[in-house]
Amino acid sequence: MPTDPAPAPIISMRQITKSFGTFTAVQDISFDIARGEFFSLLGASGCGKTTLLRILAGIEQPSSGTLLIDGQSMVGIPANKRPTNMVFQSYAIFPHLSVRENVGYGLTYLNISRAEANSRTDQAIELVKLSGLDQRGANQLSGGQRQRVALARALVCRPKVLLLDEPLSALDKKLREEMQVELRALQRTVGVTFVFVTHDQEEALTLSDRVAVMSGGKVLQIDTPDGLYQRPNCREVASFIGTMNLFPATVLGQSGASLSLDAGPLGKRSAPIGQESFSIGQSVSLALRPERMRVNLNLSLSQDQGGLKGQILSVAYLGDRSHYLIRIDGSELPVTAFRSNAGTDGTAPAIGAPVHLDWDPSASLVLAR
Amino acid sequence: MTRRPDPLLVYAVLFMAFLYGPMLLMPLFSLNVSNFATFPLKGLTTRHYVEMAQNSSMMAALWNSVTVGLFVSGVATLLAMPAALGLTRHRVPGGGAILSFMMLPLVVPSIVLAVALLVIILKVLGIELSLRTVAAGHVMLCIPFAMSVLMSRLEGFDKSLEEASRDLGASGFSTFCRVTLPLATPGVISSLLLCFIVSFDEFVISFFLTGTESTLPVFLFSQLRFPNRLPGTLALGSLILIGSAVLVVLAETLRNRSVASRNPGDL
Repeated sequence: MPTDPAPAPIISMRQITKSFGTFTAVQDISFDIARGEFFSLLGASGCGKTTLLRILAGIEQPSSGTLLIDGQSMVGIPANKRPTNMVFQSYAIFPHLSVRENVGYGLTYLNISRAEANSRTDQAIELVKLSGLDQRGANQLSGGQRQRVALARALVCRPKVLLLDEPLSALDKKLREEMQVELRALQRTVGVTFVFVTHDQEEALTLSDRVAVMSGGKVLQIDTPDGLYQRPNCREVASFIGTMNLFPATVLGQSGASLSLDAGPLGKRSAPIGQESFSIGQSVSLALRPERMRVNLNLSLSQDQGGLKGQILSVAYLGDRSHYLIRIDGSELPVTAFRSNAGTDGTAPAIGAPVHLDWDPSASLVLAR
Repeated sequence: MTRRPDPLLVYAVLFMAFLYGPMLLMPLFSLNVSNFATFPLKGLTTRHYVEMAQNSSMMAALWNSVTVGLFVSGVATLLAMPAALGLTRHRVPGGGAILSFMMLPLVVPSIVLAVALLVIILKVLGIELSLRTVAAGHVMLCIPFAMSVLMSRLEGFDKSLEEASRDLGASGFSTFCRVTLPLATPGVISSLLLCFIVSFDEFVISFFLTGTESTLPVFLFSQLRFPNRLPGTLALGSLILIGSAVLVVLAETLRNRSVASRNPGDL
């Protein structure tokens, strides 16, 4: 449509469902991925994220629904005819071929000259910093090197979309963090759309432009990392992304842009109205991020400040900050609160010490139960 | 103080003697001057080997067995490959039942197979018995062996290797040639060797289905009536024993080497 100002999405999914026998792996998935985006599919194992990626690659065919890649229908198009390439979780490096033969594998199927294939292979090997290792066999490579070979082998074909199936999960923590930085830089360099599957929420938040949180074969929320963290649309997303304190509450009424709630032992609270609407009397959850809680340990100064009284159950010291587990008087649910150690004298409060807990109403969220 | 021998070692030695002792008597008697396979040996000679080489009907039977064996191993492996691929790579409805049926010749007594085949070949198809009918029977017998060897190999490597090949633009056939076959090569070689040995060694089906030309086991059986020909048989048997030992060592070496370099995933 020439009148549409937004550029056409590179991937467009509509009502995609995939069943294996009686098991539905993905159910009614509809969303778009923009050109050049670093998009992550995030969810616990078995949530359908890998199945969805394999549907994009053409390794699995959806039971129903339509899929457009760059405006073209992919129904019935096999993996070898799609403008996508994939980095497999196991890397799937061909063990009988050298690094160079692995990287150049896909180029035989493109209509290019041998000289061009050679120079593209060289470029790809250089891009992933494997120069000098190109005659090595796949069995002589470390985990990180295998991953680079898999990346080069997929990128050398210049796909419109690069699909990555948990490519960092087999690496140790330090290497994984290095590769995250490299992967992000690589994506900016080549400008290819990346669709990245992961179960690691931190990884998804660090790398992505947008993230789709999946559970039980469905997409729960698609948003930017900041949006997911600040404005989760349900309890599941809220507790999957970071840590979230959830208190049961009842809606009392609405005034202007805020809801007033009865949060039981936490008293009457107000919270901003989100996108969802709630009826009076409805049971909801009052959601609070631990770092938005104000923990006051110095009670002599704050006797008159109000807030909730409680005791410290445990303290985890993390250097720059400490994590407190606090029990509010009259409430069964322990509350997690993070507190920066900047400006404190560093002495840890004793277990059982009384504290005051408070927060800005604007820092809280109301979620359906 | 004398050390008591390790009972496990004694057991192992006895076990090996029980397994291989009788076989080792064969080369020993093949070098005996006397025609009779009895102790004491009357002296050593290589005369029987010379006689064996001059025995043209025995050499013809050996040649028959080798050609049938080569043909059968090739055909059975070729037929088993697509079946093994289908059963390991796709969700085939009723796959389990199909596999059980294909493995049936392993458990059906070969005498039953032989009689059934004889009836079919002579009465139903009306084909004359020859080495071709023997080979056909052997192919049937060898397919389950080829299937089990190939299937275990195909299940042994990461399926995502083939998916990766497809993803990189290769067609199904191209993937088979460039990824599946090279990785399955040790299995293919094992299958060829195993089928050759099964065919070479097979007696019952050969005995029933053979025409004017016979395979080696059938020929040797027919020679047992003539005591003076026994040493020649022993000489040939000894050579086959050495040949099989070389083949088995070769096959094992190949297999071990491929195991060492098999895994694409770990490290």
